[in-house]
Amino acid sequence: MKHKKAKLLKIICFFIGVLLALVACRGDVDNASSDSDAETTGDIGSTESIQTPSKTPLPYLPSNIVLESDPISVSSQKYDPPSTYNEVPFFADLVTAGKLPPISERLPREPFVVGPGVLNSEKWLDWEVGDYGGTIRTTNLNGSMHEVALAMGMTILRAPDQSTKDPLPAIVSSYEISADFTQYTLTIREGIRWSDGVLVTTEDVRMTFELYDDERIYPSFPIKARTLGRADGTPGKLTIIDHLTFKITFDASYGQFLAELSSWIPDYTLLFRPAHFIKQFHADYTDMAEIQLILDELEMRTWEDLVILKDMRHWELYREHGLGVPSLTPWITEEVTSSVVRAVRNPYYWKVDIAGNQLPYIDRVEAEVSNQLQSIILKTAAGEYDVVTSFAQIREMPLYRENAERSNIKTVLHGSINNPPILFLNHDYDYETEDSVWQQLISDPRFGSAIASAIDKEDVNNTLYFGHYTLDGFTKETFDPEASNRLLDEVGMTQRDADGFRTDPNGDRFELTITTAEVSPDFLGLGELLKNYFENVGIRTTLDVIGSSLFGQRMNGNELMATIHWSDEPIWAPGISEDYWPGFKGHWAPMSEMYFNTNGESGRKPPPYLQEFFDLHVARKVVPPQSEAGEALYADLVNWFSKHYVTIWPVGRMTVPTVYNADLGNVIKDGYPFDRALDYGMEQLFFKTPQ
Amino acid sequence: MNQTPIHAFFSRIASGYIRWRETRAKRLQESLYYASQRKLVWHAFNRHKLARISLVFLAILYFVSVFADFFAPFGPLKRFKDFNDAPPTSIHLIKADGRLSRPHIYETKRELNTDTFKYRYSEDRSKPHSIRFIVRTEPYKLLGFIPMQHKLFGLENRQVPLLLFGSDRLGRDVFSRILFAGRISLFIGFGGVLVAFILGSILGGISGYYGGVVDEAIQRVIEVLISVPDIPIWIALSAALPRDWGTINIYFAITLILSVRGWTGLARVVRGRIISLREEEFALAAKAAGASDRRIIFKHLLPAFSSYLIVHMTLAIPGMILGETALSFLGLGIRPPAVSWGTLLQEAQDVNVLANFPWMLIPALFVVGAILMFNFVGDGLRDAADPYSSSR
Repeated sequence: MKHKKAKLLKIICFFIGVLLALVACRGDVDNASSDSDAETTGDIGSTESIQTPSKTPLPYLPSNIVLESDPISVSSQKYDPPSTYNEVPFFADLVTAGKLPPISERLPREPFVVGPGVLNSEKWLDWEVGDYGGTIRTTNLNGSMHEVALAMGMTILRAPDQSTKDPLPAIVSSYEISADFTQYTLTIREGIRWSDGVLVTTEDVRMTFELYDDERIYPSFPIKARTLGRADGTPGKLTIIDHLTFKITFDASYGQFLAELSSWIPDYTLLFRPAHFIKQFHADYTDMAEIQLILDELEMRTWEDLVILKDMRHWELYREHGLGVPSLTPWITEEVTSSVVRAVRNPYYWKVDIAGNQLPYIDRVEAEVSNQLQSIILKTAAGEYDVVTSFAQIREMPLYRENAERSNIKTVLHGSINNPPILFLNHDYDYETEDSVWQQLISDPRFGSAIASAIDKEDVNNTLYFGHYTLDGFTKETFDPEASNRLLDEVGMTQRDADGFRTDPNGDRFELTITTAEVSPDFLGLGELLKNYFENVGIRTTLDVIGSSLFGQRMNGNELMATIHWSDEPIWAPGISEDYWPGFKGHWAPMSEMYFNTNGESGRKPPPYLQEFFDLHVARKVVPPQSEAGEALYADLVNWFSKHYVTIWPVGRMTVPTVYNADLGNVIKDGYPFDRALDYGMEQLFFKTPQ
Repeated sequence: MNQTPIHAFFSRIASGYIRWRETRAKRLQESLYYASQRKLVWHAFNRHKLARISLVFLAILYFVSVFADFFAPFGPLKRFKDFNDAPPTSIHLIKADGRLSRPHIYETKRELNTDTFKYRYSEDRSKPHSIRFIVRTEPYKLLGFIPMQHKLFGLENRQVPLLLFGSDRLGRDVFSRILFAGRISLFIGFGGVLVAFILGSILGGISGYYGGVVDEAIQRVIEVLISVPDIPIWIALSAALPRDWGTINIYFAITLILSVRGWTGLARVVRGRIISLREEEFALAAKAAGASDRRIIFKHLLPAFSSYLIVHMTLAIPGMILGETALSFLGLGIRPPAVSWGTLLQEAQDVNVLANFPWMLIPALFVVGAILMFNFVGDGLRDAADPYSSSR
């Protein structure tokens, strides 16, 4: 009897043990997951699933904006195509063996010509004709693959650097936009081929729109192809004119679409998917019996799942399921393992240089998957990578400069498409509480101004960034503790508590909690500095550092008062990024955003000053972002940001290094305003000495 | 033998010394017969030189940490603008004119070399600052309640950085931060061990003395606890801590987290000892005389292996210190701006530090030193407390 009891007890204890272990492991996994998906390439997916009835309210345009434009029509290139083309040595054997057609048959009738000022403006790059050959070794953190994604990023139209102003036709050979920005007529570059040699035609575009419309594949039509880029906009209407020309019509002015066509975020897959490839898996086009064979092999259940797997956006091309998918990218994926991604040049790539060489110059790209930032830094300094764009920070400059000669690396210092961490003040925090003190304070610009002028921008810059960042930004205040104290007194925070900190206007304890996930090493340093500055003017400040997943959860729950995060301000103006949006990177009005996205079904009805932002945001979509009207609207938006202190800027713009093999040619110059030039233009890089 | 007077003098001294040593040893020998256990242990411990020295150093370390407000030249959060990542200030003993003088430093200026991105520090020889002891500073409260106006050492000009161990990336004095960090890191060991000790001896005692189902249950719980790997269980528990608790509460919670595992080893040993001791004659005699269970446990059994418990505690403290350091290093324990040796090291986990700012790794020396010393002391105590030790 006793023996039995003991046995039962053992069993119970065992189960408790297992349970405990499970709990422990869960914590582990939660902590390990990073927010890599929240990065730029994932942005579109996050808003795609919102379904709303289709109706497009007309945006309110500020009175100073004049919507006047001539129709836009562009069909020329910057350089005329060369008369002859040089065969790529890498393919020479295949061509002589007759396994690959010669270069003139692989290229479009009139290829896209790259020369000085095409991919980067001449001010920033002394472009030269390169040589074929070599392998570029690069890396990425935890398989995020943004470097490769950018190297593979091929936009439908292309303007130099990070601009969307007057783009050249790239995948298409000409485009026309009606004066009211409702009709976009595009003609595909004649003879342009998918990486498997099949010609690109309007059938590919038709297929893409068919998939978008098919609820079995797409739960809802992608918002970037809807009128005004809104979840409730009517889907763009596609008209096929002939096998090369098509027209997309929106039911209201949608000038932002020009930026979408020129942006590496939606990329060419916004309009072009390989129809011949997808049809193999689509039950409407292929016999189910044949599809069943593939399904069995992949152990999948339905053909819809198969189409969803095989129909991909460009950032999936270098994933394992992207192997063998026809693309329009300079390199095509040849091998994907857990430690490395290898890509080899696309024989049918459609760009040439002015001397008649087919791009890319480099034969192969090899991206190592790292899981330790510190090991990336060490290997970079040791010269084990040829291009490192986003992981090098200015703090490591001594290391790179010291090892420059030994490791044969060079560094170029330039701006960034990201900006340094900024402080977001949540204007929706605690909005449901009646007479909320936070709401009273935050809607008063004097409070925001007090916070901004408490920050010693110069000190932040010197301490964290070698004094190399700029001191501008949307908050113009300079360091002035006296003004800050005065403003805080004015908003009613006059009393002090036992610890010497200011109380709120009602005389109760006041605490500013700044939350951050330690995405980058400077976040914590900045947080500690901010705490220092704010306590200096009497605001009790707590710094709360949490894991990225918890950060995301609390952010979505509107539980955070203030957050530190970076954003993409340098590419807000050209309309490539919209990360100023209230709930994206750091968040400053998530519930008002929900109200906007759901057409008022849930969330918070924005108070008038926040409504102004949404009006401006919608108005910006009407015109191309870098048109005259677009620029005026953006200035209004910046002005709104400065006036309402939703973001507080400890420093302005970044200076970051790109570390590259000293042998590489066509590298941008110091001071280039953006970063990512070496991956988002990797096709023009070449090795000066043959490898 | 022909002895000179000098020879005679020295031989007299020598023989006198030998006699003195003999009598001393004899007296000691005699005293050993009636010395208490505590005295015996102390005597044996004193013979362990390394342990004795370690004990002294540990005492100093604890003392300095407790009174860090006085010993550290600056507060843990005091920043020197434009002196971030600065190397240790060099202290001079010889003045510009070549004469020896009291320790002094020179005001330093620094410039960024925009090519190498390294700071070049240049001393301004015309501006010496003497290091003074018991220097007057801004008023502060020692231990939070004793108003003070002096620090052990420092410069009269409080705005000139005197950085014994250099500064961190925000320009804070690493030396001062280490001392303040010791408050948390050194005492978390005590807190954790105390909780673990109480839990371990009570649960181990109950388990060993009563046996049966209680014993089974406690032993299975111990098995479950020790079968879960450390780090995941720490992660799980520290993830459950509300972040708005404040440093002090988090600190206590972490002690508790550390002791959740800490008591199991002790409990097992206590149980084993109790099981063997309860069958000994003196325990049986007490039982036969009608003593209560409590009296038997606390008056008869526990004292029989108390020396073991003391040794165990001493050896467990470094484990707890390492635990805290590991947790904070992983970003799960104490978080900045609170300072512990773990958070100081966490800030230093960066290739740059290794390559360019090695002084930020000095906290690691303190961790290693403190743990080594605890181990030596524990070692000495074990030798001393073991009645069967051959060294006695």
